[in-house]
Amino acid sequence: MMARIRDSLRLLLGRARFEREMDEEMRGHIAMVADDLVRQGVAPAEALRRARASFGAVEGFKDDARQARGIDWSDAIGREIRHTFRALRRSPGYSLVALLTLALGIGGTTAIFSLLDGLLFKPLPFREPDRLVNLFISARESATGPVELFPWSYPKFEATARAAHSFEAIAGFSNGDANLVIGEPERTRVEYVSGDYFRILGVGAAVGRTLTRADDSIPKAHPVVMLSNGLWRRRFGADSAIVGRSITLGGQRLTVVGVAPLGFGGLSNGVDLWLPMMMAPVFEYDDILRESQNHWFSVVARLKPGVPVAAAEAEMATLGRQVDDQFRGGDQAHPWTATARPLAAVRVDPAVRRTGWILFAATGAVLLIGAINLANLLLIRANGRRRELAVRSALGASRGAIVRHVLTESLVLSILGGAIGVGLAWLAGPVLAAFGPKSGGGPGGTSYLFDATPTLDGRVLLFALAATLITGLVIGTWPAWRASRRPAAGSLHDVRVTAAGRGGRWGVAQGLVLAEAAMAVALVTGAILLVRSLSRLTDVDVGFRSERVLTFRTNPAGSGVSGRDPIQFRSLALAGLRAIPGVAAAGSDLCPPLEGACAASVVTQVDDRVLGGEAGARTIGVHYASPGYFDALRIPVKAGRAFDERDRVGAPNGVIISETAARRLWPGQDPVGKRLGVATGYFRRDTTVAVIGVVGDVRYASADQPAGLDVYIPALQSPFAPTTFIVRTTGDPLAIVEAARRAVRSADPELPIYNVRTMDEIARVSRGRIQFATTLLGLFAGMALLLAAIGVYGVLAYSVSERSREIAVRMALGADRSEVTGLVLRQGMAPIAAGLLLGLLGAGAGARVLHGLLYEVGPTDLASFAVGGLALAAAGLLASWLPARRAAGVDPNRVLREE
Amino acid sequence: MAPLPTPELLQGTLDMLILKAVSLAPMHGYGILLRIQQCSNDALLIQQGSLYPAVYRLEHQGLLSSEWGVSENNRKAKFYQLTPAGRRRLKEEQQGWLSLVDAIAAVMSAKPADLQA
Repeated sequence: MMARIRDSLRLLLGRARFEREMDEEMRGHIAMVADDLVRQGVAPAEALRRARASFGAVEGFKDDARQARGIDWSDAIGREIRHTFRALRRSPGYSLVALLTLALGIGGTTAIFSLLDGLLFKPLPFREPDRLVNLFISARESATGPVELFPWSYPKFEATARAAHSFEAIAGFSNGDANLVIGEPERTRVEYVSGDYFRILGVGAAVGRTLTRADDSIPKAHPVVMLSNGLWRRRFGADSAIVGRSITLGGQRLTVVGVAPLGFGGLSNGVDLWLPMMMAPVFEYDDILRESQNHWFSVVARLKPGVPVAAAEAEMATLGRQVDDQFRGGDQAHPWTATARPLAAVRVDPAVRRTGWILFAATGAVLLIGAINLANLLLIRANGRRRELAVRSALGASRGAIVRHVLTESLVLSILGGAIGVGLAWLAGPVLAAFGPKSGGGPGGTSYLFDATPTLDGRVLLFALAATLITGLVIGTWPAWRASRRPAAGSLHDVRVTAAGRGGRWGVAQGLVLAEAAMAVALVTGAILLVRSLSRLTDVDVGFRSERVLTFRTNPAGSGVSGRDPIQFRSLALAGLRAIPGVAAAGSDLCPPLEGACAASVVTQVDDRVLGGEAGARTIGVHYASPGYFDALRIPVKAGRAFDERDRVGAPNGVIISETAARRLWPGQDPVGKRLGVATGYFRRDTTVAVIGVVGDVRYASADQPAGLDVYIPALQSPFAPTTFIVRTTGDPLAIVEAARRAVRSADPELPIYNVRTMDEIARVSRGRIQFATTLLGLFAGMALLLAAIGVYGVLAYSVSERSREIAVRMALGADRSEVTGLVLRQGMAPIAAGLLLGLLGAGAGARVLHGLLYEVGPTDLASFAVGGLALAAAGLLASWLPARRAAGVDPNRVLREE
Repeated sequence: MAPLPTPELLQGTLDMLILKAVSLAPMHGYGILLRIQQCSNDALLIQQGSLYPAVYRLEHQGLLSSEWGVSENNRKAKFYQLTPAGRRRLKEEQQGWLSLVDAIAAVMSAKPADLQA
């Protein structure tokens, strides 16, 4: 017995070793024979020849020896696998359905996992990422209102950095655009970082060194830059002699100190160049580090070892209050404070995170429904082979052999299905990346950090393998257990003896159909809720007309033709754009609508009233609009006037506000001629500026967020450089791209334009999040519905064929066809009805998780639930009706004679 | 030299001969052959390679155990010995064989007189 176990173990460990030992033993034998012959005086070569001859055919004996060791598991499994393949080829329809079900289930789950892994599970690629937190200024508009998070001003950041005890170090970072001039001008993404940034993240330099505190101590005094690995390869041919060389950025000469490691794009994502924060006054404007109310950058900090996030949060709450007092005077009803959030928690948009989980659950449900179908199919096949299995078992096949037989089939199916599924996931990757959530603006001006490209890396493949094996075992275990449990004698005696019974035997199958129905109806209802949201969102009025509008961006900050002022550039470029044939109107702003409010500030004064917290009108979107801007977007002027060429430097300052701002700041009054104060650079000279007009609300944040307060500052009165041009055309907006590029070149030959898009595209992307979730959930729901219907059909069709004798007897005793149809329909619809009820209840409870993805559709929207329920009922009815019709077609004479 | 025994005849008896050969001392494959040859006074000649399937089958049945060692002329070889189960089996086979031989001998030595009795 021991020897047998040892043999088996040895075989399991490696057939190779057995072969090697056998070979060695036989060689040794021949050598010994030859030795004896040599001792008897035979020449060595001749001795070996004779020894071989007397031994006989080595390979033949080896074969016999292998046989002699009996049948081992690896042989048997190989035979089972071959057998399974033959069986699958014999029933191609079944194999195709089974493989497709598994491939879609496993592939879908794997694809969504690859997305989710990048979003949620993969640890941040920094040293001890658990100790990294983002710090925010936080505020409530009222005592019960939601907490809003804001970025930092430099003076507040400095005061906080000096006083805080919870952190090893804290660092600010903010991204901007700058134009790199090396031959062809290129727009680059720049991140201003304070001294401890790289040290906090634990990111080193691939070449040279990182920026350090020594590079960030005196304003304007550190003309150094660090390159991203990508830029270094793209523009400098990965030349490691780059360190110490100078490059020209935005008209400034900067010395390269180092190159970042591959894959590091800064906390702002996609950064090409890092500059010390002390250089911001050079590239932005002089006072940027001195303004205490200009909140423009994010802050990251590393907790001291052992300090929990909660402790840091508590310290920031107190410290934030003190800092606010220091810079604002403490008489507000709802003072600002500060808070700390783990970096891992703020790196993903919560709605995106939720979307990921919902989709993952949906694919999981599809896989589960598919697996249930296959378990049923396998059981039916095992039943169909009961006689064969009984014969095998009578001939001495052990229960283990029968279990092995069924499990091999399920595992072969799941592994084949899994392999196809991984292929599908690989194909789906780019599609998911293209339509999936993009990194974007996070709370308090941070960027959401994630790898938007789902990749099939080792983690994902491991997941796919685990999903495949678990699926294979799950779908095989129950049928295998049932098949092996059946007493052999009974089966041989009368295979059909149990067929007439319909009590306990279908209990499990009916339970499974119920589960399938419940999952399918929950998914379908969720998908319908999303579809209704999407249609509401498509119809929503965003406040402007997006058709036939081209937008693109430039940034003349301190660059290009030396010393040209952004205002002059803007005037020239707009004149050039308006001269292009086919252009109806042209204007500019800081950012286009629907892309997240890219500049926001707070209202400080309304007429003579200095604003505290009680006005409930704290934050206001800030825009720099040129003449022609409102025309180009067809934003209606509701009162006063739009900007024109008079609103230039030297003319009296005047701003335009949105309808919501008018309503909230001057309820029931005409705001034109009133005075407004906002904490932004334009209001530095005059604390308050006259309102000269009111325009319609525009959804700047995104299509699904209602407009807030907005103020428009004349672009020709503001030297703030970044500019988005908005050009309305009479024909195809993309047809004028080259002409627009030339118009900008003629205003400044060194300025690149980028982010060239149509407003329609921006509008589409803004709805993308809901669209993405809707499309995928719709797809999964459809698959779930189809699979559930197939499952019901399979179970019923088998039941009808098994019960044909019973049905024939009933008919012979006088039951008519409609009674038989009703019998089968009832049998099919009973578990579906129960599943429907259960699924709708589950969907009602679960729909809350869709909150944030739903737009103007409540999670308890009755119509959606009704449609979802009807869809499943219809699918179930169709799936039951086909077998029912077949049952009604049973010919009692023929069936009973056959018996 | 005696003619080679037919494999059919030896199917059962070869196993018994092998068990008997290794019952005296642990022995490698070649040694087993030599021992059988020597004890039978060269009457039994076994094709050398055919020994191994039989030895592996006995080992697989748990009647023999084996370990690697060095032969008398310094060759690496696998040495087989009886397990307790093998010893029991040898005893059974031996008794069975002897009674078979007795029975056959009795039949073959029968005389006309015995038949009449």
